[in-house]
Amino acid sequence: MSTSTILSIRNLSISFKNEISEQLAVNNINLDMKRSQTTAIVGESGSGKSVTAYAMMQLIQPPGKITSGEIIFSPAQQDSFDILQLNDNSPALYDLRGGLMSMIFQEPMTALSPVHTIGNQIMEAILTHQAIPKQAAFDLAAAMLERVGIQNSRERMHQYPFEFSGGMRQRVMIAMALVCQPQILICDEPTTALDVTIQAEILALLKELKATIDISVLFITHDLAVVAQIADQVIVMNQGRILETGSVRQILNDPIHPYSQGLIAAVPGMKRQPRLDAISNDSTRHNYGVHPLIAIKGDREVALPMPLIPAEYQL
Amino acid sequence: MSDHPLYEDLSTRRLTWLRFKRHKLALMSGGFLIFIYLIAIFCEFFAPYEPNWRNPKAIFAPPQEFHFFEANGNFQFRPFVYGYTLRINPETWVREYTEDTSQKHPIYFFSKGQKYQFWNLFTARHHFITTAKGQYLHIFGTDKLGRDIFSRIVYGARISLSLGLIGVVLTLVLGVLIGGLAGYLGGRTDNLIQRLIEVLQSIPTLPLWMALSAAVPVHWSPLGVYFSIIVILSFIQWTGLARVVRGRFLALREEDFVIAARLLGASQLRIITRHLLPSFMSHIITTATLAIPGMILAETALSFLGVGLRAPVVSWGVLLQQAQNFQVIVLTPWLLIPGIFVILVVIAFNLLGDGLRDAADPYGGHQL
Amino acid sequence: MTTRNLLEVTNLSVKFPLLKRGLLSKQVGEFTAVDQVSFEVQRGSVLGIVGESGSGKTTLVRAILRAIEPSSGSVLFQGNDGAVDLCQLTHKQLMPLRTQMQMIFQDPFASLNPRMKVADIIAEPLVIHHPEQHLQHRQQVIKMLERVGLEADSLHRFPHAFSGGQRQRIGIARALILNPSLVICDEAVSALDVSVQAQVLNLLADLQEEMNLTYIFVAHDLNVVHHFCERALVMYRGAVVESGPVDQIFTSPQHDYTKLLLSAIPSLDPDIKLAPLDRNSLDLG
Repeated sequence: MSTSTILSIRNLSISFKNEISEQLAVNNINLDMKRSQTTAIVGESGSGKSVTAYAMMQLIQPPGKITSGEIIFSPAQQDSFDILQLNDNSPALYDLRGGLMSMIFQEPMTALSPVHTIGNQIMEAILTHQAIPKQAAFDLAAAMLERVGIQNSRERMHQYPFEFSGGMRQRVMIAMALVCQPQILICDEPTTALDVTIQAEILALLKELKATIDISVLFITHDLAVVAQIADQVIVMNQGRILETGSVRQILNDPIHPYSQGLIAAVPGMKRQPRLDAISNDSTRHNYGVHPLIAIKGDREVALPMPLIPAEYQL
Repeated sequence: MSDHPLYEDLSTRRLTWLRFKRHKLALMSGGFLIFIYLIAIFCEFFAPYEPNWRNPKAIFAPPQEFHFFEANGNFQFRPFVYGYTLRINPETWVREYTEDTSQKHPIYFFSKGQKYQFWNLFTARHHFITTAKGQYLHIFGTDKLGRDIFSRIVYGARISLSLGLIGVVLTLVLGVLIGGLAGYLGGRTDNLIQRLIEVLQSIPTLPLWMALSAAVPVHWSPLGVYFSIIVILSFIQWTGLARVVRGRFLALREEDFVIAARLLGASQLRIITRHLLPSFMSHIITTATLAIPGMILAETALSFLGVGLRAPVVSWGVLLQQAQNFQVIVLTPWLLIPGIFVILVVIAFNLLGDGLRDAADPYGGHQL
Repeated sequence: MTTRNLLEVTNLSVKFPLLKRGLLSKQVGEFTAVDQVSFEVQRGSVLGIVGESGSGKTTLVRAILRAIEPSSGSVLFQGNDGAVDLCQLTHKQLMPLRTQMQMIFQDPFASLNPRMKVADIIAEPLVIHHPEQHLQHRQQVIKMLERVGLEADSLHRFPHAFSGGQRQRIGIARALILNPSLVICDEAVSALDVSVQAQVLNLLADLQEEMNLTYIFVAHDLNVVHHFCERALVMYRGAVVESGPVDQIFTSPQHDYTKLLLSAIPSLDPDIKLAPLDRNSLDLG
């Protein structure tokens, strides 16, 4: 398995403007996604994790604005390029969206059109990116549905999204996202809206697909247990900043940043305990976030104020 | 940041205003409407003449031009108009007016002119714009009886614009009451009201209006006719609003904060007045704003067809009645000027309504 | 009814008519959302109700409070003036009892009226039930705010100025200001971030101790129920499939559905792989 970088974000800042003020949703972040691995961005609401993913597909809409930075994408067998330099409506951008890179969302019902059949929607995704006959597209779509665990796929191609259950709809979304063989799959909280039993099925499916298809996955979630099950690399975000990066075992078993430690302690575990260790908001907002220094050791990075940086780390 | 209030701390009203201010067109429309309603309120003062006063020297006279320079090129600070010379074309028998540069009629502002009764309250003589006695000023020309079109538009504004406003208030009362009842009681009542609305909406409006207005007795006073037209228009228009209100009522009834109030033991009256009504007030105001132009257009249509308001009442529809034949458009196009005002007001109301609608939803679009 | 039990629910069912839309709608059948549910809640205890979406848990608790009309069964509530069957009362007779039972909602954005200030939201129960003491309302509201951990300057702000966790605290303050004995938390922490969820759970635990509250805690997150509750019901398709002390349910589940649920919980440890049971091989009834 090669560990080259497929996508790297440099100094990305994204701001949102309202009637009277402007807020940085993403504050000067740097991150690397390794090829063929699953990178998870974990953070709570408002941490900027989804906004970062949207920026990767140039999907930031006003009042949001990318104020600085670059996102270098290095697809296999192609030259690398800066996604943020692509023009709106340029063919390269259309190639990127749904072609080289695709996305599945939290709520599949809103991501699927209610007035077209599942088959039509998947076929449209295929025909936008590939010049093949309609019948071939139909076969491809049906095979993909079968692949994600939808039985009788040829009949179900003619059904509408509302005829599918929540878990089945998410499978359809996954089929649609993978049908053009993208190199990066972005999953934006794909299991958050699902029941726990369905979540387990979808996670198992994603893992199984990942094992057979060569694809790099960016997995966005707030659920650390889901991260533990699916991720190779983990990035912890808070208030628009990256606080810590490392492998899944490093982050979950040996977190360095106090925020990561607090986040893990706050998860109610399987053993009963009288109180949960809650993180206080003030500590995350003010003590660690204002002017952090980036300390590095091996593949771990952590953003901390000077006195809290462990001795074995280099600035 | 410190001298600004936090964005989140703004009240709904303030937030709505901030959003509304961004809609430059809606803001301008609002300003224009305030201006034109002020004119309508003080129409006796703004109109240089009584609406039915005839100038025998000017029948079908075209609009006069404002001048600052005399024919010999002398500049004069006070604007003036020239009187008309009339020549009847011997071949076509068409009246042809030309400017008579020997008759100079200077224009005076805020000075005495024709006597008028302000709202039947007191007698006054001061006008916003007027000329000296014996001289005349027809900015928008005159009609077949020599009546000043500008003055008639200004007086007509009072009738047409107030009719829209009162009509919408009546529509609102009917719509909110009936729609609220349907949404609140639900079940059989709701079903019955729904079907009634469908029946009413399926009748072609224009023939129905015409039938109803034709039923208004001819001997009724102008005021009586005015109010019966309002009632007739509202009678049809409430159905749309009732549907909106019913839908909102049904949706809001299931909102968590309304259920929370019910579980706190709040009375029905309290739930309606404290929780339901405030939640769709902005919606109602927007719908009402968008309904006013419909009212104004309906009145114009009825009066134009001769079944609405009738002379001597002056409304924009009544004025447009004179522009019914083709000859008018060719020979005396200025009789169509009231139509321009109808269009402007209708557009302004629609733009204002659009702006209000976008501004009224305080939680759409500021979350990431 | 023993006085140790605050609430006894017996054979409670909620059925919704299935209507056929037409010129005049007519009933063509019915859907059973809650099917013959019975349980009891001891005073001062926490009962968890778990189940997936559509299992009828929210309908059940709303039926207990008569926000939804139950079709049959009884709900015996040990009120301050003796036991009453909530299902037999008219809405008017229920009003005074509402001071003793309150609900905390899931969505902290939808459950607070966006057009009311925090002071008015929290004072509303007082205004409804004790309008004659309006001079003391302010004092009580400020005290309650402090108790749920909000600053006094929150009073004149609108709900949208607060984060999810803070809003949930406002909802808790509103529910507790009348000093109820029974509090139903309907997915009260499900919409919150994990760190905020921990804070709110801790707050609920503290308040229970201080105010001697009895909770019915509805959740879909089994870990949260395991952490917070003493006993639990597992609901599936409107019916209770298993009930008992949480430890027993978690360590030795009896019903296949409970086993399926437990097997689907992902672990925080990357080395413990998720191995959900196969739905088709189970007897789910």
